Amino acid sequence: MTRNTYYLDKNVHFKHISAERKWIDLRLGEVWRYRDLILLFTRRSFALTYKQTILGPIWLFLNPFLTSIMYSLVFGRIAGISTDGVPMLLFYLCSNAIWNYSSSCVTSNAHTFTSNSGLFGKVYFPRLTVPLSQVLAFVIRFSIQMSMVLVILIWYWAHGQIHPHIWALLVIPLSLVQLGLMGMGVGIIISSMTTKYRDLSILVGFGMQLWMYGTPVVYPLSQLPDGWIRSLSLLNPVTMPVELFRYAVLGTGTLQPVSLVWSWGFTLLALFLGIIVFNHVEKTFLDTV
Amino acid sequence: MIDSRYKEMAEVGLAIRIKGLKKVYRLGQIGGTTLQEELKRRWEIWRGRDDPNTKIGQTARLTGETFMALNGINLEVRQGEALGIIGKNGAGKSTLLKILCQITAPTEGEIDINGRIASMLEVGIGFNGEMTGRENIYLSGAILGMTKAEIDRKMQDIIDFSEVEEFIDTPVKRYSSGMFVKLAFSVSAHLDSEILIMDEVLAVGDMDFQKKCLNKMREAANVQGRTVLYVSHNMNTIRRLCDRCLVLDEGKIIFDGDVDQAIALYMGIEDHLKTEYHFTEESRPYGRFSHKLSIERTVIEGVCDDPRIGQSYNNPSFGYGGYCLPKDSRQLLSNYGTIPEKIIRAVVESNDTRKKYIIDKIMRLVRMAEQAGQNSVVGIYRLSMKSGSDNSRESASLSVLRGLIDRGCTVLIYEPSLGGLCPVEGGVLVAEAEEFKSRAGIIAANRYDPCLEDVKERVFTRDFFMRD
Repeated sequence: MTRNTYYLDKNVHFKHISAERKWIDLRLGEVWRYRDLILLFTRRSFALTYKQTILGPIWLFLNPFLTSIMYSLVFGRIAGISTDGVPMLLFYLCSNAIWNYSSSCVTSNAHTFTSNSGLFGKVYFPRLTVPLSQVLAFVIRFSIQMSMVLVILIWYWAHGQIHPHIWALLVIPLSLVQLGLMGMGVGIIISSMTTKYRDLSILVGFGMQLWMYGTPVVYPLSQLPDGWIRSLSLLNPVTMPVELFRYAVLGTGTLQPVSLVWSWGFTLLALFLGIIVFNHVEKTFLDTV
Repeated sequence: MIDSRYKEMAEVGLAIRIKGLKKVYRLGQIGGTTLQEELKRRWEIWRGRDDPNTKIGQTARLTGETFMALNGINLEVRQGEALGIIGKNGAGKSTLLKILCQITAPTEGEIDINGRIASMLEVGIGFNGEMTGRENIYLSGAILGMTKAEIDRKMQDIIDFSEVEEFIDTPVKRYSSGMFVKLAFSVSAHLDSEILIMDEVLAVGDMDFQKKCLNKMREAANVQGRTVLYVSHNMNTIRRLCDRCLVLDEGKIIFDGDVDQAIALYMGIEDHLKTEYHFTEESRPYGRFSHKLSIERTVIEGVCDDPRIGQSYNNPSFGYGGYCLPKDSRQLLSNYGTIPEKIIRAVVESNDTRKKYIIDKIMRLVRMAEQAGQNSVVGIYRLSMKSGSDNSRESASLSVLRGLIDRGCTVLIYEPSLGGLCPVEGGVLVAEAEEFKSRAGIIAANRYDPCLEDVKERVFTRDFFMRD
């Protein structure tokens, strides 16, 4: 089916719906017109997450903090994994923040269709606004978490224990955009497929855990021995953005230009495919969900 | 190409043009439900065997059978027209609206739409209980297609219309359900779209608010020149809102034109009722106790021509009963949804104050009637308790009513004033409404019933009791 809104004039809205199929149909203009909705969805997901909790938004800080302490104990103290000389807590705080960001972009979007089928069944709006708003919400959440990390970071920096690369800090927003779009792309591909096969939604939880251990989150890339394991890790599109992030913030990290290019290529491909499949499924998913 | 399509439509003032629209649903299982099943199915089919997921006794052909929800719809709607769409459940009304609202895609055919569409397939789209009224206005408004600036501009109007100003910054989960629908409807009612598509959404809030909604929609069509498509089972609102009406049946338009004719045709579809049996039981007077029960399966014979119907109560020739249901009873029945195939009418006239006894008598007759006919029975009971003071008559009638509901009867009373059940504000029936609505009872009052004099528009239907 194609359906397009044509704005022949500012005041003329003309729409043509037909049964013909058109595969490559991004319909991004429509999404842009609904930008207010994206912001409102983002606000909603914030407003709702911590409603009726005692600690409220404090969880935003508490959660990664506790996880990082646990990681420091298990991976740092017990397993004795090196952190390239970076203070353990700081290392895990940063790793956690960036990984949580990218993995939430995937998992939250993997359920777009099934969890919104009630809403989608009653009114039309560009469905892509939902995953975009999710990503935006996670960007904000990440920024809030990083503000806490920043305090600790500055303290260590002042004591000369870490040496951030200031110029590379400018790359962080770009990495965030990349991880967000990649997560969204992968997420909406999964959500498009879960409209028919519910198996995938179960697989996602497990898959993300696997993906985390395949990404240098609890260990730095430098710890991987040369060989197939390292190559595999470099093939992982999340590896480079994570390393880049740590390189900028903590001053340690292994950069691999080829892997970085691949990572971007993967992002764009996942995004492009994701939007196409998503737009395609969105038209009739109510009949199969 | 699009430009020429637009010009074509704009020249003759068309808002919607539908050509050869079809929508096919597959019956039975759609593919496999899990990846594993789907893979198995593909594998077995590839090896030339039967689908392993087919249930025993179900032929493989059936799983592939299709159902035409819409089977070739051609339709042109002019700008400013208020078009009603009626039809039985499953006739394709909602599918048509869903395709127009872009919620699902057509299988065949094409649609041109000149103007923005506001879809009101449900009130309260996008509402979230945790958020305040104001936050919900923003979110719901944006989902329905408004920009934030637009909502800001209309905020005060929306709040005023909704009548819930003092609670606007309270989370809507604390709202009563009435307040909730009022607020939700107000948001939809303030959309600027040229085309409004509504599915049974006018029946919200209390009577005054319903009237307000209806007026708002009529204003949209008649004054502002917007196009309205309205699906409803409530013939009254169709009659009052629409100036053209479609009847859909089995995915096709079987009538397109005058509203009254359409309604008559739609009702006619269900008209195949005949009187087949008759039971009467009359007790001999025993002291001051006596009762007369009669039950018959009755016919809805079309609109009754009895000249007395509709006349004022003071007219001495005015009488109730007869075998022809008055005009409004038909409407009431249609409000109930589909007219039940078999209707049993019980007339109870009783001096007997032993209520349980009366209830048991009625039930026995209903059972007999049910056995004679095979389908489920909806009883229409006219209760007339003759003894006692006004108050005791009321309570006697109510007890009988309650007893019948307790025994699982669907009760439709018409002409309630005869039984002393006066459904005016504050009357017994209203007071009991809360209790009845959660149960199987349906209470309908004939609009011409004298106790409704001062509330002319007030007709108690299932909607009234089931609303919350």
